[in-house]
This record gives sequence, structure tokens and C-alpha cells, in this order.
Amino acid sequence: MSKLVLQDLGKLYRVYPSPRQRLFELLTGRKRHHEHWALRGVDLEVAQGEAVGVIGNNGAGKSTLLKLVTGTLTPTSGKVDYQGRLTAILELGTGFHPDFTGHENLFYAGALMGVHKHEIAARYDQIVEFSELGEAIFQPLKTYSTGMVVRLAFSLVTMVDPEILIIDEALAVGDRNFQKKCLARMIEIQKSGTTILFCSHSMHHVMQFCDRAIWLENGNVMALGEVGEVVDQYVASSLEEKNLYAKPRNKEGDGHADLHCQVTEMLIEPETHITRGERLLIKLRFRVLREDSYVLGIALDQKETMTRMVAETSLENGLPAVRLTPGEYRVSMSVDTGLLREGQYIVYAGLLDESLLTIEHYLEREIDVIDSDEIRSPAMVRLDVEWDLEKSLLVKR
Amino acid sequence: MIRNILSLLLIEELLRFRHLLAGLVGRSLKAVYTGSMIGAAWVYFKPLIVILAYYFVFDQVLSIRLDLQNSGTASYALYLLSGLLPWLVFSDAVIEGATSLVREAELLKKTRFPIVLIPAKSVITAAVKIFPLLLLIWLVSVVAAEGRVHGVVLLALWIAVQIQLTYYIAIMLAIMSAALRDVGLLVESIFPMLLFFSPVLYPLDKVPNAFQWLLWLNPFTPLAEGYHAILLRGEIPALFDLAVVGSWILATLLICHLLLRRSQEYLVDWL
Repeated sequence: MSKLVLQDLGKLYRVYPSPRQRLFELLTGRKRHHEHWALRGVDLEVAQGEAVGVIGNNGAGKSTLLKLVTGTLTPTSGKVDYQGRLTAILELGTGFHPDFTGHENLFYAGALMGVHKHEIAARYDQIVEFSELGEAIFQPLKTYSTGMVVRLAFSLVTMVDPEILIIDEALAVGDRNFQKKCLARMIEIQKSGTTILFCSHSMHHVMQFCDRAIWLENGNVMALGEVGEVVDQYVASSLEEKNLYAKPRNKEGDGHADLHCQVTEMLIEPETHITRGERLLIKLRFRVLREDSYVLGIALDQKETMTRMVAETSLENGLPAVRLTPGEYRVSMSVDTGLLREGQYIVYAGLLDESLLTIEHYLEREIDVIDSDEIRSPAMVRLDVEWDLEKSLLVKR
Repeated sequence: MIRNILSLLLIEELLRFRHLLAGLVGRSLKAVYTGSMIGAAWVYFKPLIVILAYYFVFDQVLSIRLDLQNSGTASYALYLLSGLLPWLVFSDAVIEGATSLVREAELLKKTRFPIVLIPAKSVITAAVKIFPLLLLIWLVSVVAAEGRVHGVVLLALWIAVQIQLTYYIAIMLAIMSAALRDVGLLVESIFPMLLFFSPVLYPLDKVPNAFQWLLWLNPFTPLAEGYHAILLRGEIPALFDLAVVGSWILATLLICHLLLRRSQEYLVDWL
């Protein structure tokens, strides 16, 4: 059936010192390049009606993989096997011409995908209706917003009954309603047996929609399997990497010679858990080793998602940078927790340089925020809302 | 068997994807004039202006009365047109073709289809733009000197030969300029000069013998001679012209195969 099989798929790029060397090699046949594998050893079998998510950081090889599958790139090793019609949205506006109207582009891009014009004509109304373009379909494509272009492209590639559908980041543009509609449409055609490869930076979409996922990093397959597991692994690893950015020049106890100052003690009150709304008290002891202007800072990360909820410096709270001479110092701060949702948090506290570019040194503690009346929801923060419901006498049915 | 020959000549894919090719040609013709007032007329307007300019300068201002006795016509205008129109197709196609891959990069990166379609599109578009005018010239030449009606078949064949040679040259240059953009720019600036080194503005025998070889380096020289033979004298092009054109076609075809083989897998990455 319309199974998609990738066997040992790999793409080697030839990297030339300059385009001149490229022409030289082309004309003489003498090697002037070095080689770079953008993708290597991908083995993947996608059953009919299955949706596989492709995830990974930028430059991991996701787009290369999708381009190899659609055939816009020729693989260096391995092969791609499938039967039936394959349609794809690789980047914005697959094969559309800016000067033509949406209407003309449907037929033109259809021809590029190998869909005969009779077939487009037969589904024309459906396509236009789904795209929500209305009369704009008779306007030149260059007058469209990016959202409109994607809507048109998405309508086209999903309405021509593809056996295999490839979507690269198409949902990133377009408003929420259309995203929802697209996902609904993808689920619909998946149920009717379409095999789907779906690449997205939105783990939410990938989880919602895919059965399995493949995680790529530097052209290698890091994980392939059930979508939840793979996404978890990917998120965990990217958190580690994210933390690398957040790491100060000198972290806790690494005894670097270049240390300007050092936080020696961090106490929080309450120590392990706090009821939402209470104030969290943080006490620091630090030692200044080199005279400089310093700024105090705290930050709060939600532990599960590593989302930074709060980052405050003393500059923002009315305390200017202070010039500190070497010696021992003590500081205490108190933080309002009224906006936090229930969950585990990591509290960081420390010192930054005056320009806020360098985090000089910090320590971290964990704390649980407890909220008795919270209902599970995907929201990030809680605000106090006052409700005022009353029956209106003026409105008639 | 036939399929193999066609694919060796690099036209098998053109036939297989003929609908798409027709669409591409239609698109680039249409793209010329969408949003303009006189519409499709623009396609023919540009070559007409060029022709009028050459005619005005050479025939009226410089009053060139070449000794055209061997050419089969006494009219310089007819002589000029019979070579200039095919030349306009030739240079248009080669210049467009040379940069075609680079210009259609977006398309090539996002959809799958054989790359030879792109230079083919440039060549066919150029031909569609100007060859109807050539038919007009043919009509004029028929009226001017009666009894050459069978020439139309020859003319069609010679046009086909020109298109084939142009196609190979376009592929060759297109791949090279995908590798190095300078090639396309170089072609754009140098190629129009070849007009002055071809027997279009003046007959070949007006060139001193010592320099005639220079003109024969120009791939358009044998083509122009062919058009003169067909349109002005109602003759089959000379054997020597046929042989030179044949060698050009063979040589460029071989180079095309070589370049395609070396670049095939990487070409899209270069764009």
C-alpha cells in the first residue's frame, strides 16, 4: 500500500572554499571540496495512515530529510520508496508565482505536483472554500499575506487526495483558527489513509497529531519511537543546552581564578514549599573579591518545562548598581508569589555586572508552590480576577 | 530504443513533462505582460523596436548598400531581417537560459522536476516570442520573389536545429552559472557582442579572408548562413554550414552530459 520506506537515507553536501572552486571541479573533474553529511543513515518505515513527527533543532537535518523524501534533493546514499501521490509544503508557497492570481496558481502549482488540471477543476470549490480566501483568489499572489499563501498551499496539498503528505513548519504561520482547522484536516485525511510526515518546532502540535516521532541532531537520528518518549528526550536534551546559555561565567564552587564575587550561602523561607500568595524570602551571603559595580538578580524557572517565569534585577526595583569593595556582604529579598501556578520551581539568586551582560555568580534552590483552589490548565501564570455576574433585564431573547 | 535516443538527446524528459513545460512557458510569457495595458503585444513589441532601430541605423542613416549579389536579394532590409530575427531568438534564449537555473532557484528547491525543463523553458519561450515574426519575413520573401513556397518546411527544420543547439548551450551555461554566478553575468555582457561577429549585419564575404575564421568561431554564423540560404535563395543550407552546426550540437551535447553527470546530485544545493 502507500507505505513510505526510507532506507539508509543520507545526504552529503560538498563544501567548496569558494564558488570558483566549484566551477573548476565541474569543468575539470578534479576534487576541490570537502564533505559534510547533512543527514546520515535514516531508516524509517511509515505505515499507511501513520503520522510521524520530525523534530530537532535548527540545522539538525529536518528540512534536508523532508526534501529528500519529496525528491527536491537527490540522496547521496540510500533510497526513498513509496507509491502514489506525494504532496508537500516545504517552505512557504510551494511553487507559487507571485504575479499570478491564487486561481491561476492553483492550476500552475498543481501541474508542478503532477496533478492534472481536470482534477484541480473538480475540487476547485472545495480548495477555495477551505482556504477562506473568498474573492481574493482572483488577486495576484503578491498581494497576499504569508498566512493567506499558506492557507492556499495547505488547501491545495491536502485536497488532492495525497497518499503521502509532507508538511514542514506550515502551521507556524496563520492564525489560531486556521491552525486548528489545518490540524483537523490533517487528522481527517490521516484517517482516510494518508501517510504523513510532519515537521514542527511546536512539540504541542507534534504530540497532538503524530503517532511516532524521529529526532534528528546534526544529521543523525537521535531517537525514533513513540511520540511522547521521543519528545521527552528531545525536550530534556534541549533543556540541558538551554542551561548552558544560562550558566554564569562562574558557577557554584568551580573555584575559577577570574571570580569577581562569590555567593557563599543561599537560604529561602519557607524552605521546601510555599502557598501561593505568600511572600518568599531569600537571604544571600556573598563575598566580593574585586571592587566593581554590581547588580542583584533573582530568577524563577518552572522546573518541568524550564520556562523562565520571573527574572528581576535590583535595577528594575529601584535599587541602582552599587559599587562594592572587597569584603563579606549580606542581602535579603522577598518575592511575591501571587502570579505563580502550582508546581515545582527553581529559584536562582546572585549577582550580575552593571551592564547585565554577565552573571557573575549565583546559587539555586528548589521550591514547591502549592495552590489549593487551582484547576489544571495550560496557562502560565495566575492573575487575580474579580467576577461580577448579574442577570441583565434589558436583553430580550 | 527511441526512448534511449531521446534521453541521450536530453529531450525524453521534455516530452514526458510536456504539460508542465507548456505551463512553464505560458507562465513566463504571461509574466512578461501581466499588469500591462497592451498585454500580449509586448511580447512582439520589443523585437520590433530592435529591428526598427537596426534598420534605421544601417539602412537609412548609414545608407549601407552592400553588394549582396551572392545573397539572393538586393534588399538590405530583407537580408538584415532574415538573420537578425533568428539572432534575437538565439541571444534571448542563451542569455535567459544561462541564468535560468539561478533565477528559478525557489522553484527547484521546493518541487521536484527535471532541471533540464528550466533551460528548455527559456529557449522555447524565446522562440515563441519571435518566430512568428520570422514567418512574416518568410511571407515577405515569398512575395518579393515568387516561387519558394516549399521553403517553409526547410525553414521549420532549420528552426528546429537552432532550437536544439540553443537548448544545449543553455543547459551548459546554466549549470556553469549555478556553480559560479559570474558565468551568467559574463554571458549577459559578452554574448550580445557576438552579433557583430556574425554574418547578420553584413555578408560573410565582405569580411577580409584573414578574419573569416573569427566569424566561424561564433555558433550563430552557420545558422545565419542557413537562414540566408533558405529565406533569400530558397536553397538547402550549404554542406559546410550543416557540418559546422552538427559539430556544435554534438560538442555541446557531450559537454551537457558531462556537466549533468558531475553536478546532478548537487545542483540544487548550489542555487
